[in-house]
Amino acid sequence: MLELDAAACSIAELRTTLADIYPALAADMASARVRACVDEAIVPDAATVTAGQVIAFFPPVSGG
Amino acid sequence: MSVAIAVTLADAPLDPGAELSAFCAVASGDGAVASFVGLTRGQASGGGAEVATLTLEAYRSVTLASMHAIADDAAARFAVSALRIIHRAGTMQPGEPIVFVAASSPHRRAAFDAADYLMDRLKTEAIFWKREDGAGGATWIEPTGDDVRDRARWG
Repeated sequence: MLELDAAACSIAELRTTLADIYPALAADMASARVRACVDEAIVPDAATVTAGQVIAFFPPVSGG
Repeated sequence: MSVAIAVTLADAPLDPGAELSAFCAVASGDGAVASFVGLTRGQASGGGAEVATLTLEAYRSVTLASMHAIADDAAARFAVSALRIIHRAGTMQPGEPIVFVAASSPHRRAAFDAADYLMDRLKTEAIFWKREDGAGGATWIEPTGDDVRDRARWG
């Protein structure tokens, strides 16, 4: 869990911010297969996130 | 007509026979029940190494929401009366049931199609992360090309 001190931004912008902080995550942050989840719902990259929201990035999923 | 939907994310072993019996009891007004049971494989998905255990990680609230969304879509798409999804999470041995789906309908085609559809969506879109552990180390598993093509059949 990481707390970010940042203004409201889009998921796309957050991906760039995280890739800057953690260069090892750059490839995953740039991948469309890694999906964003905000407050327990999967959202598109255009979604806006604000203070207090819980954001997760999911690697490729596989059930069954 | 509303469809009776039941979805379970199970941390303990599931008994497909008992689940099918229970589902048939619920579906007694229908003429058809189709079910599918997925078992964990003993061979690594890439071929070769033996798999000692398979571990499925879930994010309970999001995983359950994804399973419900898939069931709701099937209910809207097929002329079914009841749908059941049970999906395991946690660590399993080869040969253990990992997923059970069932669909009931007045006539068989809708039940077959709905069960097929549920599995294609679960394989590619349900929120689980799957890891094989064995002598060859740990490998995270992603949907295969066939899984993706099967999913694409439904649009």
